[in-house]
Amino acid sequence: MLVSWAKFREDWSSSSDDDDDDEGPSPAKKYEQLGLADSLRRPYDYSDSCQELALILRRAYAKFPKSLQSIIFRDTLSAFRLLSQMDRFAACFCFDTPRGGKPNVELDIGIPAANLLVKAAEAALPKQKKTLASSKFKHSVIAQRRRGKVHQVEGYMDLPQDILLHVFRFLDIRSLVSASSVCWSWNTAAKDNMLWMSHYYIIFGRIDISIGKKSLFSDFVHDIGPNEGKELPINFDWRGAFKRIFTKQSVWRCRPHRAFCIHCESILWLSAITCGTPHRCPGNEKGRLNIKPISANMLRVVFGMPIYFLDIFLSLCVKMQAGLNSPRAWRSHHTPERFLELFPS
Amino acid sequence: MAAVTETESVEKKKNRLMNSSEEEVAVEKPPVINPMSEDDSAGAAIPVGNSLSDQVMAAAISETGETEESEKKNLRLMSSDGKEVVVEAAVAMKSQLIRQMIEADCAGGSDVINIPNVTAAALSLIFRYCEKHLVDGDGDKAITDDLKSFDEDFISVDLDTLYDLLMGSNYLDVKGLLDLACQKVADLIKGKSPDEIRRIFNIEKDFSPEEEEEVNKENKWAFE
Repeated sequence: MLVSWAKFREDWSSSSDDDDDDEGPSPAKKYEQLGLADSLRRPYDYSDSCQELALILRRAYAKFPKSLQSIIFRDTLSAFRLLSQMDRFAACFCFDTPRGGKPNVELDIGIPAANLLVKAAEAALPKQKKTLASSKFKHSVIAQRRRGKVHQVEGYMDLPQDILLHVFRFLDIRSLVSASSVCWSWNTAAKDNMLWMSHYYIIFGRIDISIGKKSLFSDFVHDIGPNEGKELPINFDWRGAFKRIFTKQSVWRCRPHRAFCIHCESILWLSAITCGTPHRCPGNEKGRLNIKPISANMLRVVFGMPIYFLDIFLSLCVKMQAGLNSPRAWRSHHTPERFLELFPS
Repeated sequence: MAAVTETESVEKKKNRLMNSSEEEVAVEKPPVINPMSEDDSAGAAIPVGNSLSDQVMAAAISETGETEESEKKNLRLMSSDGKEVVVEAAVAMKSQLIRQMIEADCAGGSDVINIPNVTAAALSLIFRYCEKHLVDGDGDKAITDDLKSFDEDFISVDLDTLYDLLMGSNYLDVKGLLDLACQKVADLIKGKSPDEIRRIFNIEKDFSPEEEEEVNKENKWAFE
């Protein structure tokens, strides 16, 4: 399974920084697959996106071809521009004139993350770009603060259980758990067994408890509707099962925000993986899912790599990490950190 | 030729209705259009009877891209606030509930379908969505992109309207719109603490302090 390290290193050092497209997808394409331009626009992914951009600026920007450098610069400026729209954004809907006497809500969203980004920009960018980025950041912070406090809009959302369940299908795990702390009706809906069964399959990709009927597997990749429930053993606690495996895997403790699909070798956002929008490998829609979370450490290492090898490296690292159950000797020799030693930056 | 002018004026009124979601919906009595009286542009020899369901099915079968003179059967719907909403059959059929009612021919004797759970304003919004999504655009990137940007603008509304759209599309069973609205609400929830969620949705915390502590303990595992 393991590639010869020497060959890998040879390939890496022979790759130059030109924009030659012949050997595969261009650096710009690889960067695009990270999806940062889009993720910056999602308030719940903004912080993590800024951190990734900051990492890329510090660790890899200088080695990239000019075309990719200008794309990264564009995204950095975009992050600051979005900062100034942050409060409208965070509430995610257009405001009418405020009604009622509710207290105003103070929001200072995204500024810490953007601060991190501007520092990275100042460290990595050439003078002109650095000045531009800096001033854009300052203006956005002022604009956001000047906009003042967000007005509380009196919306009313007493949703019946079936609609709540439908909404919750579009939530990732952490948000689902947060939702269960809101009120009793949300608590009931967020603990729905079918929901957790779907998450179990989407995240862990397998059912290691003997359920009996093989047909369950094919059912999971389609919409799990209420009718499939009749094949389940009664009272099987999917949420508990999920929690057991989740807490056993140490990678979850560092709050990963990215995952890697081993089938199609693509980097995904964990926030985007929900029951309503599970990951479907292009060309392998009916296959079993196999995604692994990417720890922050691994991400840090990965973004220091030449971008051509982003997915290959991730694939190897993730498989290494997944091999945590293998003998001690193997584990100590093949860690992502040791792998990194072969590629001095 | 009288039939043609009547059709045209109905079209104009319908367009006005479709474009305004706030105004009071005019209570119109559109003439019952007999498909047999039109010329062949309606789409050839479909034998039609005179019952509501037959007329609607005939109209639904004909392509939507046709000229103004071609057959377009209207449906009349009575909203929860007592206003009548007139809509093209093909558009209304995007709602599985209406489609089933028409196919089962349960409009009864009258032409008016009762929608007791949805206001007129919500209905016109929902049908605006349906009309835009009549074209499927499989694979055609330009159409899918256009639909996507329409959806983004369409769902950027205040919380009350979002709630109406959610409930309305659930009742009428318009899958695309229901998913869109649910995704929007989910985006409002994602990444926020329970406190912030309660603030946005104006939800009362109905846990006692002990219960709250219990729930938080139960949920700790996801946030360690």
